[in-house]
Amino acid sequence: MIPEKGDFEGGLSTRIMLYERRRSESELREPEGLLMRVRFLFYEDCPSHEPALERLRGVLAEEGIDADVEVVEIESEELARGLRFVGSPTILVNGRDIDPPPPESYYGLTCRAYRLEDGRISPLPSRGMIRRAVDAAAKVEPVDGPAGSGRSV
Amino acid sequence: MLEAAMKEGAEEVANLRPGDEAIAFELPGVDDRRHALTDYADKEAVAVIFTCNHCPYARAWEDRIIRIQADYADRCVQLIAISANDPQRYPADSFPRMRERAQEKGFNFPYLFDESQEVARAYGAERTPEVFVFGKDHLLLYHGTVDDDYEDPRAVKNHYLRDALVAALTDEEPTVAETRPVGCTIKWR
Repeated sequence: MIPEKGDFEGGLSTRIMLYERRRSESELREPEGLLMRVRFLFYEDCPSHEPALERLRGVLAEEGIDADVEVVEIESEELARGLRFVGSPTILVNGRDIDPPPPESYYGLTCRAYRLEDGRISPLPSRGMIRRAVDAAAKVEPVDGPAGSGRSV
Repeated sequence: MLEAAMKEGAEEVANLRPGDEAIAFELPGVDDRRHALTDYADKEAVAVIFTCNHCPYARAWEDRIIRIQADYADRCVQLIAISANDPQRYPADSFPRMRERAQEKGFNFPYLFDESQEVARAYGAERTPEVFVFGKDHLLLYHGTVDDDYEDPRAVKNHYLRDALVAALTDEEPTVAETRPVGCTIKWR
């Protein structure tokens, strides 16, 4: 769920483009299927964001997915709490975290630990993690059409 | 990209440069003992490593640090881990959680708590992990990161910490004396 602007305490300035809660189906869909929205959240002091963004874009290119990637810098603890930011980098595909964190996760300005497929801890999500998330999003069926291709406008 | 980033700007951080004398400290350890740097004055090499529980970089390098201590323990080498993070903001870095981590992972080196953050500030440490290697004359031989690949130990090309310890043991200068530490920022109060 993406918080609305009013959810933040007053006076908070952000660099985030907030999506409207209600959008018409025609705005959201193309003839081929659903629009894929990819959001990359990062904290500047954590050095993994550049290689992670490069990895994300690489996987999207490999999968032939032409999604726009919205890059958002989390600049304050308040913003981190407001966006339920569990650490840098965080990748959301159609609003869903590619590696959903546990409910008791701490929100704040920190680096994020990903557990890789072989059990190792890494500051970066694996290519496989990213690929599974975008492939799953690309396969979601629209309400009134055939299975989507995941292409954006 | 990582290698270039590590070497670039290495001189921008830390209060110690190669050749400087180690800064003394005494801190509580998770073994319920106090540990002073002078306790290890007879070692051929001492590596002071600022680290913590929560940081994924520290966690990614943890097993390698444990392996290094195991490999060189019988050669009079001592690694000392210090966490200086503020546990109020980062509860995963609290002293009890440090004790749990040390037990869970089988740390074979002291894991000390720099609660006041004075030691970290004195060393000029900024990241976790951040390594300071001293030879038997207690002079800094190497400062920086553990090796050149935090993600994949099989892809490491430059074993900076290991090489510095070997240099200490053979009375030589390490090939690389400084790299830019890579990791999370130390969480100051």
